Amino acid sequence: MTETSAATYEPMFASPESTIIRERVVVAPSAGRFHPLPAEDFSTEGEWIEEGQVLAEVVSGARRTPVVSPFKGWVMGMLALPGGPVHQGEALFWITGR
Amino acid sequence: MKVGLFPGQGIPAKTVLEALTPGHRVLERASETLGYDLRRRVEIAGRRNGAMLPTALAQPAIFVAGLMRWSDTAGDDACDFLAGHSIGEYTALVAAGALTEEQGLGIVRVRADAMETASKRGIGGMAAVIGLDVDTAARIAREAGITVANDNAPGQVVLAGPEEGLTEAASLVRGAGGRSVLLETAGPFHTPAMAPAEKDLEVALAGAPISMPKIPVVSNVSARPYSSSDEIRNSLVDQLTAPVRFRESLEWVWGQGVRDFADMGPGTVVKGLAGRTFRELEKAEVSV
Repeated sequence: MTETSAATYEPMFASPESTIIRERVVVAPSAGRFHPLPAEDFSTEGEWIEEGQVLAEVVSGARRTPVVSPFKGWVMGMLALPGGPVHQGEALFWITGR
Repeated sequence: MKVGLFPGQGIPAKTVLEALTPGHRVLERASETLGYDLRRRVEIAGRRNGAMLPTALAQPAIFVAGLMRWSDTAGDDACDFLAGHSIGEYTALVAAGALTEEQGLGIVRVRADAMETASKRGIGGMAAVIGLDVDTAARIAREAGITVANDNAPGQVVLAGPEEGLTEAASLVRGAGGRSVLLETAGPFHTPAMAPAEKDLEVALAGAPISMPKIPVVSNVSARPYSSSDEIRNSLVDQLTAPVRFRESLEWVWGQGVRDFADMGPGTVVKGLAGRTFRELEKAEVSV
């Protein structure tokens, strides 16, 4: 019979790490054609936007649905083509913020 | 009367490349001084659509492009004053004969490298504030713990500083009825974060003989023409950490009777700034 030594192991854990993902995406509230607001209301990439700010509209027939940002931050990119068709839930704007 | 204007760093790579006409004698001389093919480097760096050039390349390239245009037009496009925005001030000083082309390029190269290094230490950025006057923007900057970096034109001020401060300022700007646009720059230029670049620039300027400009050059720091070569040396170092007072510079030349300006390029950024400033001054003059 082989004698086995019972090694004692102390559990070791790496110190937990967390990361804050600052990138956000504003998605299309409905299907239709994507129309960013005119430059006098919302200019372009790089602009700071506040939570609740309207960035664009999705137009389907007579219905115009505003695209409202649920986040505040800098608009890093417009991800859909102006005038192009979009699906509900499709990414329209890339926002980065804290 | 006319003022000749040279732009700063915020010019897209594609625009800079277009201005660097292959075979131009100023470009050839610059490539020889730098020890690399300037146009080729700009071409490679600008391959990404809409790309901005890295600081160490952007500054020499924009300086050389401005001098190329100046050498082509100076003879039949006489200016009574010159001014430049940030790096453009160096172009203006060479155009005015305060520095030789080669000395100017040598100093610009040192400045560009030192600013790029300082940008990596002092994390932060710049954001244009649109639609607010400079006093309101300055108040917001103080509240957010950042500074005014450029007073460009009526209704266009650039704030710079750490990222958290820019974010806080952006919300305050929105609350005050203005808009903020994050600029694609390597760091918070014209703020105390650029202090680490001062030493290298001081050394470079100390080694170059500087003459009084043959055409008065309006300083970014004082918004008045330079009155001595020592002032040029000191002011160019101060300019690294001080706001660019471009609007006030244009207001000063307007006060001297200037009603025309020439954007020496590359690009048309300073044309836009000068156009807006002159229109406001004209309106004020008419309404008085």
